[in-house]
Amino acid sequence: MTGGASGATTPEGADQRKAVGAPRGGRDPFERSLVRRLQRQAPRAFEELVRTYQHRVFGLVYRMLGDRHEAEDVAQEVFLSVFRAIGRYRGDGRFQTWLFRIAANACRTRLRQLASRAAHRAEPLDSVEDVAGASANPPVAAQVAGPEAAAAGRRLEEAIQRELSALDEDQRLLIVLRDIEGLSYQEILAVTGLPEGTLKSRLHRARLALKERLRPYLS
Amino acid sequence: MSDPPTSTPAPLDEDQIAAYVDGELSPEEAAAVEARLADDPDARAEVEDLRRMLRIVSDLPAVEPPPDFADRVVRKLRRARATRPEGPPLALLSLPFQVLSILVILVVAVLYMMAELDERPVSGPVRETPPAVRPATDAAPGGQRPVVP
Repeated sequence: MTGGASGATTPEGADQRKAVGAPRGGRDPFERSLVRRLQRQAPRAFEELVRTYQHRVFGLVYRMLGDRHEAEDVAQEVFLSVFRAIGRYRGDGRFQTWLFRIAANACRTRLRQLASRAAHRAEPLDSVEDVAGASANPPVAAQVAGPEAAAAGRRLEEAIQRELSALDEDQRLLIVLRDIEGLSYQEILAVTGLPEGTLKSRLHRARLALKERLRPYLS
Repeated sequence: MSDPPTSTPAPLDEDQIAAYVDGELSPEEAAAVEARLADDPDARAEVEDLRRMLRIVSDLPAVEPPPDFADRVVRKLRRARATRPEGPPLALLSLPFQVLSILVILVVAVLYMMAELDERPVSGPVRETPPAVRPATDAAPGGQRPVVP
């Protein structure tokens, strides 16, 4: 179920995640140029798209699904969907937001399929996620010296992923988009389609739910 | 004498707390929230817990895709494009052919019908032919013979 997880996360953490890949900020010339070339089906444009956004798409999908193998499959599907649908992208919002919306929808679809599969096997989905979480996450604590600290960091990261996976999928998406991927409120509204008035309260409730689940690890 | 009513501030709402921990409030709004937190130890503890949790979550390491991820996606796309020809979908390509086929069938049918009509004997009202002129062997009425030039 899991692909080789070794070395799949990098110690630089959030700073590096937010620096990697697509430029952030407004609708930048890079995005516009890439979209134009994708719509013209210019050679190498698709490859550039994948190389630019693979870290962010894969990160989002992995945190939503909690399983590397599923994340690889879904992330591939996301890029192929983008290629198929690029003609319909009108440039009304940021390209990255559109891409994330496709990724979020693909995650929802896959989660439903996984839940259905688990139900047919009469096996709780949690156990699928546990297996994934236990084997997928390489050490968080390469940042911290010493094998004990590394082991503690790994356990914490596994716990976070496990508890994240146990959240309702809408709550999980908000946490992933805001607190892990660092999207702005406006970007999250565009990705989720939530009404503006409900985002902050839903985000707060999602955080409270995760905080309760992580209480043993917070002390 | 009753005690003067103590005004307990309304609890902070969810939107305010979310925006406060995200640093999305204006300095004035943030100061107002902090003043409320100063009077509410429970709310203060909750905000502190939230911040601790958010620090841990946001410090999760970046998840890297496999090193050959991009190559694999690009290969998959090439395979997909190879099996699906570029340009309009096959259904659109076949549409003019379908229309053309129908037109040809119609034309053939019309020509056939016209040919059939030409060959079929006329079945309409029989045209009355004038009676043949018989030789005037009989005497004309009045006993005169017709004058033959």
